[in-house]
Amino acid sequence: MKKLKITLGGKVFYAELLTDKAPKTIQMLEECAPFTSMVIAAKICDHEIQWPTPFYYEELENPVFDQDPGSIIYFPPRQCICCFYGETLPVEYCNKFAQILPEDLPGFFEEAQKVWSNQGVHVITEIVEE
Amino acid sequence: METLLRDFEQYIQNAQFNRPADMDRLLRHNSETGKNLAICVFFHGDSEAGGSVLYTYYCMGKRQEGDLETLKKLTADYLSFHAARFLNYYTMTDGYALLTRAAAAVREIENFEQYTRFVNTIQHFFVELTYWVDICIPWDEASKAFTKIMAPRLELMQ
Repeated sequence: MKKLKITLGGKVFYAELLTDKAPKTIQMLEECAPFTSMVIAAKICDHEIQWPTPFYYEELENPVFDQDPGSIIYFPPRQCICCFYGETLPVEYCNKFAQILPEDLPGFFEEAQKVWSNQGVHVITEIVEE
Repeated sequence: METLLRDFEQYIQNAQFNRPADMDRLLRHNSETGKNLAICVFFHGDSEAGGSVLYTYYCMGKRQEGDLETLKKLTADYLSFHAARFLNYYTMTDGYALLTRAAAAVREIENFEQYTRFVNTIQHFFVELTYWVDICIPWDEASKAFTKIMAPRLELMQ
């Protein structure tokens, strides 16, 4: 089964791909992965980091408003992946395509929290066979 | 038009990992008067809005909503607005040159397909610059200083 692999701060985290709910987003992602981006912390929502993708997909697919910790979405207006790693008050519908594995969430929380004071750190996005 | 879009794409591609020279100009602008934080914050807002507005135009173009000539006019005016600010507010001369050419090139667009590609490319340009200016602003330190300064004032407002 394919999984999303995120390398942040030199640490590796995995997420389940929601292939049945967001097949097009995942296909676009797969076509350009692996890729490296610079990650930033969200300014309006708390507990959210985001990074740009090389692909562009403007359609809504599996739009989700409320974001659980570990939710990974694609946000078309900014061509970016957003990861919600804790409680968040959402502001918009976004295309949810993956969910961080529960066992990886605490470690991800720790690394993602550092981004606010360390903007621009590199993140690697991959799709791997597990 | 093709040359212009290639030049935008080149700028965007370079900006994916290399800080654009425009960003250095932005950071230096008003630094001698100590007002360069304002410059960065203004540009952050402008680039964020630029990306969002052009995304709306892109979606309209893709769905062939509205009248093409009206969309072209709106787009030309919007790009001219940003071009002037790139030059006068931010001294981002490379971006200014590209946006000025883009504002003039809009009139060459003949159909929605061309319009969509055109706007899409320039929207990417704004998004890429938003990331750059975002990582240039020391949000953590600036927020802490802002909170410290504002706390007594907010207390007075209660």
